[in-house]
Amino acid sequence: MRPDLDAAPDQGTDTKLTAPLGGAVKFILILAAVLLAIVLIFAVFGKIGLFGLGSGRACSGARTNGIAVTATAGPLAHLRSGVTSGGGQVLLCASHPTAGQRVLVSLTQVPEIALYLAVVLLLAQLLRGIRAAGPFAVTVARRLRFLGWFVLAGSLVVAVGQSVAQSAFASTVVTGSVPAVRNAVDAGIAVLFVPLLIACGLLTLARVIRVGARMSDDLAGTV
Amino acid sequence: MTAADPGPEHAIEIHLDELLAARGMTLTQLSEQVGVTIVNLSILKNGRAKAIRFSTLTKLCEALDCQPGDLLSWRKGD
Repeated sequence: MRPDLDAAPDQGTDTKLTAPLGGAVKFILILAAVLLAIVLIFAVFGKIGLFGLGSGRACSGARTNGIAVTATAGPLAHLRSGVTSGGGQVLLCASHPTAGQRVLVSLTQVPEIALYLAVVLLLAQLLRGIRAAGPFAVTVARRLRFLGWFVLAGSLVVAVGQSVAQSAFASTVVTGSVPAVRNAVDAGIAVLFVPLLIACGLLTLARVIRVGARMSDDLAGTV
Repeated sequence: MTAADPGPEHAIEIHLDELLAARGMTLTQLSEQVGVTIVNLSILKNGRAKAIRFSTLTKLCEALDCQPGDLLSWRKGD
């Protein structure tokens, strides 16, 4: 159907066009704002420890690569006979953390949340662009392309960065050495597949939208 | 014409102005007769249209009692 050049944008249609993602993004942003407020209130006034903040313990997961597990049956007790436990990660907690340890614990958790929030904000911006210019616009294609690269690069940087922070924290609470490089490479590889697939999808969609934008442009000039 | 403005991609001229003047019609009257918006007719009249539908051309020829060749012509390049 040819877009009518002098028609006013239909708000109802625009809302339907961006559903259900539009509603989900709105819900997530409201939820994130409420949770952030609650976390800040508890972190400042409460006794809980979150993201390394607050007066509680500072805990972080750590890969068991190169960290000796002393229990003969593995980290879990009360196992039935003939069963051993193991895992790639253990939880390390500093009962009286230093400021540096708190920062490191924050760096093991906050970047991932910041990445999710950034992706949601980019999605909101993308949806605003779709509502303003229609689905087949160069702006939409450009934003999709940026989102694709952002998801891929952001996921890798966050995974490696958080792993480095985990290793740095672990090295402050264990006596042995922590293989930070190996842990970072493992973390990067472990997280790579899904973001890579999402990024490929977004970049392909961006190309399709770009072609659609050219067609839409031609159609807009058809009388 | 600036460097950023490459100009029209075609050499087809529209003679809507002349036909309207010859028939004593306004763009608004033509718009009502053919059911195409004034905005789109203006785009066509000013040579900014990229394409014209056969259905639009048919309606214009009916309303203006002319042949497509009276409405369109090819401008030979320099």
